[in-house]
Amino acid sequence: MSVVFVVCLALSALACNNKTVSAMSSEKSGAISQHCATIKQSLKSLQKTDARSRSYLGSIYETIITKFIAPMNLRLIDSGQPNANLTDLHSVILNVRKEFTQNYTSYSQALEDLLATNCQTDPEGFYQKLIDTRQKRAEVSSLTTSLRNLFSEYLTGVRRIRNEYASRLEGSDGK
Amino acid sequence: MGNKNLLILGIISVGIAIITTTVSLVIYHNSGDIYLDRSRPGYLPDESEAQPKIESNYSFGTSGQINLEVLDEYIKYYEENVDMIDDLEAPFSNTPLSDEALGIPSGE
Repeated sequence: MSVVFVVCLALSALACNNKTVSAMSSEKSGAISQHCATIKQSLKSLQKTDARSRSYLGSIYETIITKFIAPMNLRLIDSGQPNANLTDLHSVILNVRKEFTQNYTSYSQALEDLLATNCQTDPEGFYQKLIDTRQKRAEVSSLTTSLRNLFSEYLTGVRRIRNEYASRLEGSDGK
Repeated sequence: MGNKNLLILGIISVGIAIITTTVSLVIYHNSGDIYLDRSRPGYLPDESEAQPKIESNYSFGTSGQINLEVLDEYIKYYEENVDMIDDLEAPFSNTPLSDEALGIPSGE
């Protein structure tokens, strides 16, 4: 008897919850349908801003990797002082940069798919895609932060080498 | 007979052109290159657009001596480049995609 009561209670709670969600969703879907043109305009503008950011960051990443990191590792090897930590960091940076490129493409495709969805006739589908796009954008954002931190970490490694040189010089001067 | 062969040659040429163009466009799209192409209409760089300001011609060679002076110079230019990343404030933050920014009532 008590089991039946609990099941009934759970089912009614579930039904009540669903009702609330659908009521909330209808408010949301109504707003999406109503402001569809404005939302699309904002998304198109964002698409352009993103293209700029991607191009800007891409060229800086490329410069740092090809003109600073790779030559430094090669030069350390050439001078007989290979640094395993910096070499490992170089590999990690290359992998994260590759991941950034792939995730940006995936995010751009999601945004394009979102823009192609009719938010006036299919607001629920549009919102679902918006959530997916947000998730992909967050991944891209997190990778830009990771790359920034890795570049700083690399710089710390070079500074350490520099300080070792400086202290060696001080030591030889002291003698 | 000659005219017929010429027509067949023309049709085959057009067919090959269509196939190769389609394959190229599919690769262009699927590789993500389309999203990096700033020559597309509407994506051309603005005059006011921020570009990485790489003013120096500094280059760090793959061979040569490593000493304090070389390392100090390297660190200086490396920092300049890394600082340019920070010029772009919160790239790809989720704020522009939030419900609030898009005018969608927030909450479930």
